Amino acid sequence: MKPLKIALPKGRLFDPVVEMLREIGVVKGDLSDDSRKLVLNCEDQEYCFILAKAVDVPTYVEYGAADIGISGKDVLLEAQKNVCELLDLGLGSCRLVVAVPEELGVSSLEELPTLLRVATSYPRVAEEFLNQQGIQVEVIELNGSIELAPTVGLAEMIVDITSTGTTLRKNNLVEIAEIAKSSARLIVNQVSYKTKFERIQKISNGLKRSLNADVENN
Amino acid sequence: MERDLTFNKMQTPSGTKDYLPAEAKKKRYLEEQIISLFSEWGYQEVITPTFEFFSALSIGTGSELQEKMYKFFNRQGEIMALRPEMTAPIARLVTNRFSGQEIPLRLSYLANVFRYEAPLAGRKREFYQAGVELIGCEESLADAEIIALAIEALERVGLKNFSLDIGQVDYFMGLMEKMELEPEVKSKLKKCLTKKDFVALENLVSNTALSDSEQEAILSLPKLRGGKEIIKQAKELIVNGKSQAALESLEDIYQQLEELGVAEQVTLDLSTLRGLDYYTGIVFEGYTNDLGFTICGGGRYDNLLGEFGEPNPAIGFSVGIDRLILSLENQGVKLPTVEEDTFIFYAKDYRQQAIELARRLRQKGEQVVLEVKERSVAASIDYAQQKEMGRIIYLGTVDEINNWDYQLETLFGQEVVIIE
Repeated sequence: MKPLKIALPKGRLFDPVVEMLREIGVVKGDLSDDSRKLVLNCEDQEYCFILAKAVDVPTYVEYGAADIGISGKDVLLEAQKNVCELLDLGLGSCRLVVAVPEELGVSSLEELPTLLRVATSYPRVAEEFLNQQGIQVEVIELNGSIELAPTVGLAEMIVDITSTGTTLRKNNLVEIAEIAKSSARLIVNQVSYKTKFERIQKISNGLKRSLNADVENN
Repeated sequence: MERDLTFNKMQTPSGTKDYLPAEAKKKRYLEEQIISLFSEWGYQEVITPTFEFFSALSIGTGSELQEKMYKFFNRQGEIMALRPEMTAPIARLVTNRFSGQEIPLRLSYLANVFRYEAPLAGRKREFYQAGVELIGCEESLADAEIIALAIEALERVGLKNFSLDIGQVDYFMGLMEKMELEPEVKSKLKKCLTKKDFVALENLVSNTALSDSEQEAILSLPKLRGGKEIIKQAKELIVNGKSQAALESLEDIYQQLEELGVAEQVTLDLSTLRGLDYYTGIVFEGYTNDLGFTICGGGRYDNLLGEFGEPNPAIGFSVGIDRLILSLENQGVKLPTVEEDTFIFYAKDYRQQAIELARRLRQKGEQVVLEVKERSVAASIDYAQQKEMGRIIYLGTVDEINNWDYQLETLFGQEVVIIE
């Protein structure tokens, strides 16, 4: 039997995801995201792990390079990939929000001045959302440190994820609208879902059980 | 020097490709195999226009596909489009050209179709399809024939380890009809199921006022996947007549497939709905472990022909030629590559003999390249070797080719030199 290929997102989701997979016996040995090897454990008969950049996980899964993967909903919304979304793992909860500098004195979308530049690493989501609200914007795509953009005069507002709001506050930014809630999802390749149905169901059901157990324990 | 990465007119547009000889040969081979199988089953080939009126192509297709069509105006200001699939054109053709004829009609096609999509491996903006449509039968044996033909087409070209998922859209439609939900919510539910976004499905369902058993009936759809046993499980979940009838038809078809000896390649899956709006009964899609995308798909569309003016039940399927090539290559199946040519060149005085020899070899079915350029012996031989010709024949005196290894032979009474 060929091992089931699992794409794991490096970064903030990595440790909690590995912990969860360990609980249901999918991860056995040590897995570390600063490992130099990007493909791990493939000599094993059951599972093989691909350590990918978080934003690339949906791509690995869509092409079938990985059978299943774990990806934040924020990344999925932006990537618009054709993958199955099986389960909400509830990990890495955060929200995609629109935020502006405090000194702008704006507290809702309606109060925004016209003609705005918005800095974001979610250009597709940002443009779609603001467009739906009837707000015209110029989207400036950045790959990190989005919250700096207003400070240096690159943009008037940002669209970014926030969990506790600390980073926003530190940079004197205030949230004026929520676009979506995000958390980690179990995603599956459309064909693997069919050809490896039982094996994938086993993982999905295992995760679901451990999620429910957590809820009861709390 | 730095390469200029800006637009240049020698590129092909994103999502399109050139088929070079080796690949064109594979494509031609697959198409010939498939179209000849179709004719063995009595399906006759038809060819429809590459572009048609947008209004005709959009009948029954839904807004998602309509947005993906390449549209343009003709000189009268009417909207035209490149065909994005072949079912609507065939339905139009049947109504237009076969009105009042004896049914059933069995038609097949080979066609390039066009969709404005994000290009991916196996998803391009121009791609090739082979398919069939069986018009005028509502019998379940017709469904079984189409499914069996799809399986045989994949087998014929040497594909291994493939499987077909079969669903029945009426099962889901029956559920929806009986539930008090906004049409918008219903279409969202359908979209979630088609995309297999089960997280959104659960969120949507839990936000409705549906009873527990109704919620259960929707949420259990993804689990209704497997062999015959799932029909029984599904029957216990539903109370409406339409869904009941859908399950009975599925049962019936499954039995036919068993009789046709192809049930082993088939999985029943009630969450298979496929994206297109025109499907009314059985739907199916084929896939293999060796490709992350489906290879073929089809289904029943009993209402589509009516929208063109002459109601008739119908069912069909198509297979993606490009995806088939990809999966066969991933499986290591050897497809015919370009055959080796024979190269003939000659000394000036031997031109007539060379032409005659080429003619005779071609009559025998050989592929012969006759030198047309006036160049030195060395240049001709060099060209033939670069092109990896299977055999290099020289007509003339051996003095000219003393620098090469050669053998003398007689072909059709003509003494020739074979360069080794």
